[in-house]
Amino acid sequence: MDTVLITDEELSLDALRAQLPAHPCCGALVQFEGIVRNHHHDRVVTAIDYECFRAMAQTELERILHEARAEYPIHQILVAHRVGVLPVGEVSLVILVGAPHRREAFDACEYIINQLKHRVPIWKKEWYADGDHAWIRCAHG
Amino acid sequence: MKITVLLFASVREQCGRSTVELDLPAATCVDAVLDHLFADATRARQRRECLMFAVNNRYVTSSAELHDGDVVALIPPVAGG
Repeated sequence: MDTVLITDEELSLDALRAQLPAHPCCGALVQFEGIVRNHHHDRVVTAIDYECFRAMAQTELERILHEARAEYPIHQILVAHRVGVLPVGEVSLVILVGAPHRREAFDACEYIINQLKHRVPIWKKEWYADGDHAWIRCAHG
Repeated sequence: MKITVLLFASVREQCGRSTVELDLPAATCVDAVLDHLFADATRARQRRECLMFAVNNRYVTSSAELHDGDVVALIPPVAGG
């Protein structure tokens, strides 16, 4: 059972964990949180504004999860991405992967985050302490 | 044929709007949408170098042929996570 969630609301790891029913076949659960950082190179970041093409982001994430399932023997996946303006320290992304063994859970989690950064239509505009802002380019490479 | 173009992030800001309706000749390819959006050829070329394209929520190559009613998304470099 896979879950993809794109939301304006605060992401709670506990609440998201509760959406993932425990299963006796899973000996490993990898939890990844992406958090808004206070710097980018030498600039002081105060917030990030996440913009999203929701319809396509949802389907593209579902495609990525489908690929992860085809590649790794995993049991459960949940991906939740927050959009809107997030100050430093807020959680922007949660990935949960449950699997019988830790190796495939780690590998699947890394595959999902790498693919997400590369192709899911979500953009971030960083806001800096000096009042300036910039769209961040970190994919299409 | 009628085409809807969706603009996001830096492209949305540059164009000053998030949606554009275009009436294009049949068999126009995705890439040509940029020439209709950016009258300035230099700007169109700069954008062409860094954009990806999606039609009806699926990535396509710049040479993909458009059909009546298609929704084209111009995807500047993404940065989720």
